[in-house]
Amino acid sequence: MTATTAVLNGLPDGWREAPESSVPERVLVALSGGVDSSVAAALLVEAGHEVVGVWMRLHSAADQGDGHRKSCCTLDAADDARRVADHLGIPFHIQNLEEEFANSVLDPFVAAYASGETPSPCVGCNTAVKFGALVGKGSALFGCTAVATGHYARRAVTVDGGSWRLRSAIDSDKDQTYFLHGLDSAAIARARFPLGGMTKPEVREAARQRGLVTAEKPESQEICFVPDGDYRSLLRERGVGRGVGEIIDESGAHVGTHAGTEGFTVGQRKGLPGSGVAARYVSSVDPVTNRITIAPRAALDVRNIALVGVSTPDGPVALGQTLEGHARIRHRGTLVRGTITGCGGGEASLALSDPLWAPSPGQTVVMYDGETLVAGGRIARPRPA
Amino acid sequence: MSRPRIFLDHASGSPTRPEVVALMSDLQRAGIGNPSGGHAEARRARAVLDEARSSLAQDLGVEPRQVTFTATASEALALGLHSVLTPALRLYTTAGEHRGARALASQHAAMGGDVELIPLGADGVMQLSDHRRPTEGAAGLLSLASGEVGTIQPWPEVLQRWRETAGGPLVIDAVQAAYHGSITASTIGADHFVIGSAKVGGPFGVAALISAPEAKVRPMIVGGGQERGRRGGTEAVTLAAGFAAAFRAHRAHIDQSRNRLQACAQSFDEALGPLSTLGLIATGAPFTSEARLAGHRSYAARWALGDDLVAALDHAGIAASTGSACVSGSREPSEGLLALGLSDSESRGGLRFSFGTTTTEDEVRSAARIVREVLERVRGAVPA
Repeated sequence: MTATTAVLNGLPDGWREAPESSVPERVLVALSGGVDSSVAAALLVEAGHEVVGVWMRLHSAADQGDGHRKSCCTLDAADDARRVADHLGIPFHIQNLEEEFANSVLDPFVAAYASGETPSPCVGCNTAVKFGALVGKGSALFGCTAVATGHYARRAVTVDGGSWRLRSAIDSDKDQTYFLHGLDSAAIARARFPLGGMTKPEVREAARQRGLVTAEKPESQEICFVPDGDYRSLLRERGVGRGVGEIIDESGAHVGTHAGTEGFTVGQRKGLPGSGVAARYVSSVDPVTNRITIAPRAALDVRNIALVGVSTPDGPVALGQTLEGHARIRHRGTLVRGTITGCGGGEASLALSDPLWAPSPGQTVVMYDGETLVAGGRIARPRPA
Repeated sequence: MSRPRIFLDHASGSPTRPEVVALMSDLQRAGIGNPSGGHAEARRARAVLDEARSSLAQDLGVEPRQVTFTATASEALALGLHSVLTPALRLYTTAGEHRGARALASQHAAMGGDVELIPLGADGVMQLSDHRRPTEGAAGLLSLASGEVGTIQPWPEVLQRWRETAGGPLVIDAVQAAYHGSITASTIGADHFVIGSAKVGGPFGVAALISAPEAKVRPMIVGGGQERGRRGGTEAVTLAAGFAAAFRAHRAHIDQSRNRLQACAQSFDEALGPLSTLGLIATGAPFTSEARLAGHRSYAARWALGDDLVAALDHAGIAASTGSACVSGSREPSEGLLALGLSDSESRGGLRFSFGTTTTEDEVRSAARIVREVLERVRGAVPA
């Protein structure tokens, strides 16, 4: 097995690089108040585009300050975004997308934990909010034909220009195509990723050279809508969690108790009882029985993974459709050769040449052909026995 | 952006009059400083401040000692209310008040005080009917005219009804009304009222609380005893002088100015065409009514957020407003519009254009054309 976390280079036959547009266009830039989107906006301005800066108000965290400057969704982030726009001499507007965010990100986030899954909120936000609702608003309000972000990603297009895919970024440590997999061909065609060809140190340096106030801002790490990082209190507010439950091992034997299934994800070790001879990990989370099952590390190696919501940029994966390439089940996770086979209704199975460890229901799976992202979906919940 | 800008947000503050800019710049150049002191320089500053106070007092029909300068109209309202309100009093106000006034009412409620909202009719006029004088006593925090929907309250009828019903001291927001007409202390008849500077073409950063001769002002900032101990802190002499000069200049031509603004707004109506074809409804007092602020047009769209329309218009070169100042893009419906009986979605879609003395006929015609184009485009893009 050749474990790698770097996407293979090269484009499949019939595809070509899609360089960022050189024809002047009116571009909406989603400024988060961080260094990446600041530099993205600066590069677009310098390339001669007419740039409109927006900061998205997504939820009530926008009413709070943020002492740590780590979230993109607070008052401080909005202030930084505004200062960058002023510095670049571009218009700046706050766009309220609270309703879209609640429907596409927050509610599914809560529902996922309630059903024992570990959600990927960034995927829904990118697909439905940034490259969904925001694109529509940019076009309707400002006549923008494209939306740019500070994501590390590139684009590819078929030679005839009819179909678009994401390509991994030059900087494999920063590549964010994993979180962007929900974008369809039309959304990718309208997306602009000015940073796809840069490394993070280059972006920081570009920010310093331009005197952007965000140049030294730390990376945003937390779930943006939970600035204090305590997502469990959000879940409690929403009534998720049945409280104390049982931890069992693979034989069904009682080994301890847990404080609520919503605090656990497959592959987790933290919060489990005992420090026995062999470490054990969460192997399944069942909110129906309120049980966590644990198992030795090797038991979590998996070669076949059931997937839901699987789509390619051209639409849902069809019954019997097969896609070959390298798959990963975590952001920057190991890439393993595999085949996705469509089972109908957006469901699919992923067969891997080598095992991947601890696939967690609800998490995103993506598959690359060379450096292009060909499909993505979510890891399915185990079917009830 | 190189496209010409058309400023139609005079209700939030007009550009400073050129003669006021010249006056203030002369004063600053002359080294006007702190008016408290025993030297000639301080006396010179003090003389400028006294003159400003005296000029404003004369225009409003009061004695100079009845004028307290503050930094903002919100501060003056807070100072006025602080002077009359005790925790036991019931505070009467309306949902159509300026955000600053509503926040004061919320503060009273948060401290355990009673707050009662006087209902508004669909045209924005206060409906003081069954409001009996509460045994604990009452105070009122009301505006003479609404910046959001342009309705001018029928004064002194409302004042009369107030005295017959709830009664008690009144703190009046006269910021918008002072732009429209020649208000005086006797026509307002309140314990305290507030006027602002930027609205009449003076500088931002100064406003005034005008108090009845017998009304006490209880300071919120004690400071060094300035403003007769009513508001501590070194006075902004140049700003006060600019305010007084702008107020006087505005008053000198107020009737012509009102007629011109009314004509501007009517041209805008005609050039804009039927509102129904734009998916807009008019809010507040009828556009042709005498009970509407001159040069003020307010609408609601149920198909868009007011903030979005303002952003789209801004991009097209027009400075407009939702009419309801709101921070960081919240999508809460405007309480002022809800109070007129508008739906939630309509109350999120407030849009206001307010013309000023610098608005030209050409600007009005261009603006109407651009507004129509932008609204049609945005509405066309909204999923039905």
